Amino acid sequence: MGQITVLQAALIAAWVAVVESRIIGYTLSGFLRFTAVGTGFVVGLIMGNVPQAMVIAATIQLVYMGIIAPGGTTPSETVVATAVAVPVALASGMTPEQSIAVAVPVGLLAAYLVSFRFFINSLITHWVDRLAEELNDRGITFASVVLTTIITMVLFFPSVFVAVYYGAPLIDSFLKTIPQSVLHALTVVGGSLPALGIALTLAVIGRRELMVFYLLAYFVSLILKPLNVNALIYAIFGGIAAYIYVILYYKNVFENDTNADYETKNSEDNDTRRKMDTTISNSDIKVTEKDLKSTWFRWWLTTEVPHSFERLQALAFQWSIMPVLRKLYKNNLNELKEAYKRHLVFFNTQGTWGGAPILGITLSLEEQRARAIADGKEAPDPNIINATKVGLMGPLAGIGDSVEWSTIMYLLIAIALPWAKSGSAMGALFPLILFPVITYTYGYYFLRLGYRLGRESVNVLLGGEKLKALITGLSTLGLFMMGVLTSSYVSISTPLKWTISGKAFELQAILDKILPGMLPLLTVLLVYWYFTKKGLKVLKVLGWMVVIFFILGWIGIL
Amino acid sequence: MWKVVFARVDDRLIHGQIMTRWMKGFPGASIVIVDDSLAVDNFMKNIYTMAAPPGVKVKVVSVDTALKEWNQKANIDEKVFLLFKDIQTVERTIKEGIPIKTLNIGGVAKMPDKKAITQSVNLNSQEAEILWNLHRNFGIEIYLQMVPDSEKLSINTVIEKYFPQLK
Repeated sequence: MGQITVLQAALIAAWVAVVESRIIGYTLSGFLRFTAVGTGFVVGLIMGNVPQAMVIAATIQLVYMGIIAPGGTTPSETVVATAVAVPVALASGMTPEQSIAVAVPVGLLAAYLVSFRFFINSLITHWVDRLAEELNDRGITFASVVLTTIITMVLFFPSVFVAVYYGAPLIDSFLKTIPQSVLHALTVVGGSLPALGIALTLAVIGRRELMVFYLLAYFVSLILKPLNVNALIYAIFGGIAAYIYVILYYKNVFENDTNADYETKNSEDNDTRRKMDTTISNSDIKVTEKDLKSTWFRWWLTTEVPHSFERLQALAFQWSIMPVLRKLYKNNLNELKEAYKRHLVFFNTQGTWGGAPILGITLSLEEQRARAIADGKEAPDPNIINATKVGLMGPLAGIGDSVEWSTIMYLLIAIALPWAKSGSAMGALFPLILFPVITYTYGYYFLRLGYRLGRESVNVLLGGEKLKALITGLSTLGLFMMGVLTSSYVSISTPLKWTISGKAFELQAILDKILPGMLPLLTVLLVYWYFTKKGLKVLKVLGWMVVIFFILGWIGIL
Repeated sequence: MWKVVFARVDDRLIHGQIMTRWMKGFPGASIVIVDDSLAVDNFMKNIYTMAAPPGVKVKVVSVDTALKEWNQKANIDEKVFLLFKDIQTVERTIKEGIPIKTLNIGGVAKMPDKKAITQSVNLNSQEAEILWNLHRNFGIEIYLQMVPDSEKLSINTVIEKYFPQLK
């Protein structure tokens, strides 16, 4: 077998530690945490075998499609599962399907470490409260951002290092001792579990009336399999199908476009109001374009870094607007202290769809308040600021988790997966670059919208049918790509054959005559049906699938 | 008459856990938020309605309106997914006569007087007492659970472990 050196294990562990600390940004660290392809690529670089690492990561990815973390915890930590399973499989020569047997238990165990991290961050929260009382900005930065990062790294580095460095030889010697039938059973389990990831994605982004696009793509790609169609071509097909559906379904949206007028009118109103304000008040108490940019960067960078069970994203929110608050209330330290404290209370939302507009609205409200105080006029009640944040954080998180994490992220992965499966680094780089860039860009636009229009920005963001049409289009394309993936990458087939009066029958050949690819499709649909009837109990289904397919593989039915 | 398929207390009401996890187990159900103060806040009411992804209906009603709608024959077999911001509102709703068989406690934020029970639920003794009474007097199955994949804790266990004086 190949060897994993101390340096390689240390580099892989360091990678996981950085991703888990989330200090590389909200949508970049989230992407790397939830999905396998990015880590697969990095581990491939470290191990000096990118193509095979991509193939293994693609197989792991399919099992974990649709996994996101509403509320902070995932049922399974994909990044850790991948970082351990890929090098171990590379070193011991396991097949991609067999590597699933390493990935699944490791992912489950790592989920506990994440919970432990949230617990430790809760302890830091109380220290930040005291630092805010002292208006100690450097102390707050250290506690909220630096210390939380270091603690998570310390938590993850040793455990991943040990698992990678000592795991590989252990698994290798284990593989030599287990019988062929068990090895076969593990391969069967690994081949069937992508059905779980695909069914979960269908349940999360799909709706019953759109399932027809899944079936369409499944059968089209089944027929076209011999042609080896490029994945991007399928994405274009799916895009066209989605476009036609949306055009027909949301006909009226494209005919009368009232939304845009509304936005311009309101922003003009607000701009005039702001101009009037500046003429009569302290002109240096002003949130500038540069402030908006740096606030957005600070928030995007640290959204999940000081995340704790007690306050969730509160510390990141306060840290993001701290310099602007300092500027707005520089002549009134008592008010500054109050502002620090009011932004340290419980806050949790989806970072881009919720966090960005809420930050913008908050800055606009704080600016109004600071000016009024400086001019000795009646200032807006600070309770309104908090009520606005608290009111908006829930509904915006609902839409953000649905659109951004569930749909856009897994759509990009679905398009890139065939590249990954063929060993190409594009399978990782395409979503790894596009997802953070897209989300960072529209997030900044949302923040500016929030600042310019205040509360009304949310009406502009959510109002009208345009957004619904867009979401429906993306979901349709997503379901289409899931159909393509099912036909190519869920492998369930039976080796059963028997002889009746001298004539040999092969069950798989008979099944293929009735309906090619029947077993993978049925498995996906069965799991999907379970999810929509019994709820999204991912771990329960995972457990049952492992047991059932292991037994079926072991006794030779599959 | 509504068919209550799921009822939950969550101070954030609708968010990612609801939209991407719980709701998926009840396709076709509409979300009904029961909250007196939200029902008169037109701005927020509008936001909740708009923030629903396509295919999901959201309504915000007061306890009284909920009762009226529940009694209407026209709504027969409409599947609803009830959401409450606080435990007091659930108590009122149940006492007014909307039968809820099982109640999920999903999110109650930390306050100085509240004990941390699970990672997302914090209760004070008044709230625990209300839940305990609802369980004993109305036979409602009450459990603490964040998302379908997280650990489920029954009210019995909670009372035994954290509020034994109520037993």
